[in-house]
Amino acid sequence: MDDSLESAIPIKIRKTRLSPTVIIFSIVGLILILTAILAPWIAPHNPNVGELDNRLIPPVWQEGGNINFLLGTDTLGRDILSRIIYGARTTLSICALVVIIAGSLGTFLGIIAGYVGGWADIIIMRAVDLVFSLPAILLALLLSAIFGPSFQILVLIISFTLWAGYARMARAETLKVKEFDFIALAKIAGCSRASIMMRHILPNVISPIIILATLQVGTIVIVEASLSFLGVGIPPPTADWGSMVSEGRSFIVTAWWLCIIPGFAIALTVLTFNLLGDALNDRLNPLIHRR
Amino acid sequence: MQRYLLKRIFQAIITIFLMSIIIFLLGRLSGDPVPLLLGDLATKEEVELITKDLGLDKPVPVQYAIFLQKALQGDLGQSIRGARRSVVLQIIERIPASFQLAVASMLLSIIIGLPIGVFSAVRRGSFLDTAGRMLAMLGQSMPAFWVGIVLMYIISVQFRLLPTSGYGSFRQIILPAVALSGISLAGIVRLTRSSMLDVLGGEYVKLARIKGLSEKVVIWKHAFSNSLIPLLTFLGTLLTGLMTGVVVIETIFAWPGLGRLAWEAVSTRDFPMIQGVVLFMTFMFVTANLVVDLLYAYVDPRIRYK
Repeated sequence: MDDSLESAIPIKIRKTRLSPTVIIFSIVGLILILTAILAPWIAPHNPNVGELDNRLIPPVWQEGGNINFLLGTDTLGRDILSRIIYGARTTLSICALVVIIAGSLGTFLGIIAGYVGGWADIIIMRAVDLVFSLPAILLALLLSAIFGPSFQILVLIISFTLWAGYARMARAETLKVKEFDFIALAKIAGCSRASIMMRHILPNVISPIIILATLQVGTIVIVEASLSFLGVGIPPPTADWGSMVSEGRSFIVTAWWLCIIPGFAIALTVLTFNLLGDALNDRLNPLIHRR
Repeated sequence: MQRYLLKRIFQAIITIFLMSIIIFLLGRLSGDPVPLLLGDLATKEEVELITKDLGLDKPVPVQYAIFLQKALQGDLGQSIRGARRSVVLQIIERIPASFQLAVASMLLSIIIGLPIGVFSAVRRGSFLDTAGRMLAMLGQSMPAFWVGIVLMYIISVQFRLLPTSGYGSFRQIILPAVALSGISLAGIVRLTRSSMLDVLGGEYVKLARIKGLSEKVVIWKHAFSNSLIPLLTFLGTLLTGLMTGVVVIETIFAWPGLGRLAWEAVSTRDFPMIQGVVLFMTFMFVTANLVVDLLYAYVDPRIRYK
């Protein structure tokens, strides 16, 4: 990834027309985000409470479907559509938190490593190497065995394993920006180290960081869903796509919708953010087009 | 090269050492193992005896030293569930299954992924290129556990072509290997394509063409062999994905490997077992990454002198 995200100075936004795919997926992305934000207002039912009388109703287009439960119900009679809507909220809020925590920590440390250099650089980059050599899944298994699964721990685990990527990228970008004249001029003008880093370097390294953040949303969704699927992520009864697939697994023969629909939601979300990340990368990064 | 080799080995040792400290401390945080071992009916004397026996009355750094010493001698304690068997023995039993699965899925994704990637690059913009890239994009978007369940449903339940789960025969490895290869396949296709495109634009490829060499020789001998270098670095990243995949896929297909062992240990809260498996898997992971790095340095001399 490093080589495809060369320095973005100056940022050249290519004035080409957006491809239809990008437009469609931007809309899908927007809908996903709006769904997450507006969940309490648009969900037709309570996602965590169901009536046993209503259990295992198939989606509306199948025989025995009920118009009140468009995507059917699960083994406890809970509405699948409402759980999918609230699931978007769970997943995307984890993504947002992880991107904010990992992104700001990683960028901050990366800029320090790149600009200050010396011991700070050595220590930070050693920590980065260490994190890169720890698989998130093992850490998650270990921590959830001790503390029990929870939202906060999940966010911390995923952030902990992802900040290093931002640090590596911010450091590489900082090393390039550092050589420009405006940094030397800022130094001559008497700017402090902190102000050079915050006001002159940060704005110039931020665009590849934003691309990385978009591309990482897909990874976060998959890791989060996998952990929840294994029962070490989001604890029940919170609506979560990964745990929905896990709960529906044993009913795949009799009630396919329990497991297929949330899986489809995961795939769609990951696909959307991966495509948007790629498109952003293409637009903000002129180098790739020379290929 | 020698200096680089020593430096990387030293780093790997430090990583494993730090991880062992983290795992040990987390183990102490998990609470007192004595009541777990003895149950509620134990007398005070029994508790004291076991506490002393396990060395839990000593200060924490001393406990860590003992833990490390034992671990180096291949003793990671006993499982606190079931027959309380040795953790190391249980890990060793599970290695072959995981190894077979990992190798099968790696081979599968390389055999399928490399040709698609090369072809996409050579016939850039063709229908096959677009289709291949879309397939890669889709493969990357679908979580392995879901692919596993869907495959199981379609192939084993609907069409009854292959067994749903279990271990032992060739027919049983096909589904988990296919599900697991999805993760690496997409990455291999994308990376082969972009690295082939890079190489194909190079001067020496132009020269080879000017010399009048056949397109076959240019692509496979000149371009392809060089495009493999960036793929090597990707192997490291691949391993992380594979690790997550292994735990998930083994759980779904009841595959008796390390991943399933880890999951079983977590669901029964068998702490010594979790500790052992995580330590062992970290060890494997760090070693594999070390081998990849050294291979990379061997193939590409520029790395060694950085």
